[in-house]
Amino acid sequence: MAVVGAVLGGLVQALLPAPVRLAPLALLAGAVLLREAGLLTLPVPENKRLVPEAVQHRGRFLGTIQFGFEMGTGMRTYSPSALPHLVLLAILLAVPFAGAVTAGIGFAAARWIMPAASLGYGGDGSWEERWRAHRRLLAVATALATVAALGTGLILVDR
Amino acid sequence: MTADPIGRTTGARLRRALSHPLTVAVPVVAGAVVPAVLGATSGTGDVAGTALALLAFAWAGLAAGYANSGST
Repeated sequence: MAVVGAVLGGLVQALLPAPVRLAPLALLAGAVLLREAGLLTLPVPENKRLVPEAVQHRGRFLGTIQFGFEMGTGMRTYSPSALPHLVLLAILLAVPFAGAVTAGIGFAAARWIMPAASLGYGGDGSWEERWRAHRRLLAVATALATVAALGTGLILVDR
Repeated sequence: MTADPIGRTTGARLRRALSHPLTVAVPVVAGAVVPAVLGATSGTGDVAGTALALLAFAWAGLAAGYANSGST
């Protein structure tokens, strides 16, 4: 998704002047912060389906690859947060190609951290329960971190 | 190794504490300010500045991905 966004972003960023691209990005970043804080209702595009069990039965290699692709790209899953959408929009409107690649690597690392931490916590579903118990705090903290990191990156690239 | 009332060893308790969603969130969230702090001290347009920008974008992806950990 990051690579597709980066390729399209190269076109968008070449065609549109910076103020036209950065204004809606800043506006959406503010809206996402309010959404993650629970102060604004903002629906995000999501497929609202689980990856079917049959995918895992396609073999250790193909099944794993397809499951990871569908989960990792959000093709067929739920999305409790709007932050991946914000990062994708930033990649489209402002982030340079190399930054899009590193953002994708960071996103992939986080998707690995979740099951690793869950297994370390016991692998019995209690990690997910703890996550839900602190959902709002985690949503606000990660939203602030995401917006701060995006802003920092764009300032450093621009100077 | 001492075990708690439900039989967990010290190592298991430590691993569980380090794997708690809030514990994992600390470096994910706090790390986002590192490029800004280091960037404030680096020169303009230099290699270090570019590397810090790439690190910042990576951290944006990391925090955004961790925010989606509630989905399975």
